Amino acid sequence: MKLLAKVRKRVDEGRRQLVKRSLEAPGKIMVKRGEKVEASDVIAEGALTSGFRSLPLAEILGVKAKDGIRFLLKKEGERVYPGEIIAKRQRLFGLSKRTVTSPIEGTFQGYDSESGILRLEFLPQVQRLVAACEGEVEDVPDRKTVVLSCFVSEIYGISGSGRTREGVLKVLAQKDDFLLPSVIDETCSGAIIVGGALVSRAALSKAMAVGVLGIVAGGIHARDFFEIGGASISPFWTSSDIGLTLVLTEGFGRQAMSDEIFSHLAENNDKFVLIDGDKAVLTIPQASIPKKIPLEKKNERVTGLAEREIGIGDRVRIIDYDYLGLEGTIKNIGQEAKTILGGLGTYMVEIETKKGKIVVPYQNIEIIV
Amino acid sequence: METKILALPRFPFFSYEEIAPWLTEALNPQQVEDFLGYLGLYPQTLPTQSWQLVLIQAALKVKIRKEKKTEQNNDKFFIPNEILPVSRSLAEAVSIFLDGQEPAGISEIYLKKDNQNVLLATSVAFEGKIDFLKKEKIGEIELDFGLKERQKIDVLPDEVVFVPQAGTDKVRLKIKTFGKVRIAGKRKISHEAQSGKVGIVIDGRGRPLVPPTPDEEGRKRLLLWQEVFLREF
Repeated sequence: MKLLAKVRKRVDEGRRQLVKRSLEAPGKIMVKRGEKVEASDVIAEGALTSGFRSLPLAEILGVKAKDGIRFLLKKEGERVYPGEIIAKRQRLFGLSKRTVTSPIEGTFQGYDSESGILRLEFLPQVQRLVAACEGEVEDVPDRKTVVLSCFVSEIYGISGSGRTREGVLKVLAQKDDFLLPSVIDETCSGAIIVGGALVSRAALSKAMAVGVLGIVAGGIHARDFFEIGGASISPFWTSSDIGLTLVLTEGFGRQAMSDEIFSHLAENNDKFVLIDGDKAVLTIPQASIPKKIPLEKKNERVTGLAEREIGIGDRVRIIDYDYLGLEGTIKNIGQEAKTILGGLGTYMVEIETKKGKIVVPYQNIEIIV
Repeated sequence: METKILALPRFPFFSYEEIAPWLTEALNPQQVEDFLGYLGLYPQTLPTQSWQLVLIQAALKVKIRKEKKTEQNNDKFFIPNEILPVSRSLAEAVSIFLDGQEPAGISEIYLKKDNQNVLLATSVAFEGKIDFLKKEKIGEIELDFGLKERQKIDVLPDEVVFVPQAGTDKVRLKIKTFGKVRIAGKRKISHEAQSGKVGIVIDGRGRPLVPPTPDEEGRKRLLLWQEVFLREF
């Protein structure tokens, strides 16, 4: 009899990997292929367009759309400042006056005589892209991308949502604590925060309000998760990006983060990280090859969820709903099928954990490597 | 022998409100939703508590009702294989399927196994709106197994009657309906049916099948519908 279980890797403490660094829009690449870089080196520079603002000019002035152009005080491409008058209409020999002021600092992009809409563009901001890791430039495929070869450690979550974002890692709660909204403040703006066993809806709202870019947490309530965009892990789920990336390390509900994951996060507190919600991975660029990793393990990687036969002595993670995330070692594997819940047949395995011996169906464990 | 990791059904995210009418136990809404999310992440796991099984079976019914894409050939239906790992018997698998697919009239329920179509059950479902509070019978069914005596069943509103019969023996059914309900659009019908591995299910719940209310009374009705499939014969 061969009982199979999925194999899961939780933390990869260090291996060489290609890390893609990209500007938001094409710009100037400042490094060449083969060049060595330090983590703080600026490798590319570009202009970041911040968006547009439209104003119903004709409506505000009380004129037909085709006539709005006559009252403009700015030309296309000209700079505008907040509060500056950009259009003026005088009536009754100047006794009645209507003005339109710019709500932003930017440039005047144009006026549409058919719709009567005026368009202003926010001033572009300079984006300086740093290498974020010590390594070598592997490739420069286009005017916005640099591919670096560097050492990283990776934390593999169970699910997540949102595109890749980057920022400084801030551990705000212990592995089995709630992430309280009160600990999320302005200092977390632009950061990737680590939030214990449960990120609540209130904590999510606070994080978004202060400009947190990513959250790593043990669990979240399913309804909150799907309301913020869901995930692409399950083929039945859809994913969207709400401006914040989330990686869940355990699952749904209040779930204490695994010791292995939490200790690795704590060790890397205040470091620059990349968070990818769609793949549920947190990548931590490392300054150099970690010495504690044996050579043969440096390139070992578990892709997807492979399966292998379980054996006594295997280190496993229990994924039974009632013991989710609890880790231990297989002590015994039942040789005869048992019936549970009055009709479901399975083989039971006994796991030794820090909470004592626990017996679960073999399907309810994962092998940890 | 190598065991395979059977994938349990995978669901889109169902809210508690969608699932609640099909729950035979009162469960915490957040617990329901978190568990359904958990199943999406760990589809290979087996439920180990009765409330988890109740929840999975309820979600399956909702999924089938939403999709109604089950392979169908006229009056032949094929049970989705994902029902089997969470059914304690073939009879229970049939009951889950009927609640989800709610076939009307006379239908045959099959299972695809090793490229063979295995007949599980014949379903006889009364069509029309049923007032489950009334106690007047809505139909009569005479079952002729070719024996000396014929079995006669009075069908009451909201009642599910299960006639177990091993093998694929043919049964002659004579059906009469009362009131506004019909079978295949008719008041009287005679039909030669096969009972299959599970048996014949006479479904007096009406079509379309209106889910019970998510309260104590609704849960009692659900349990009554289910228990006929869990009896040992």
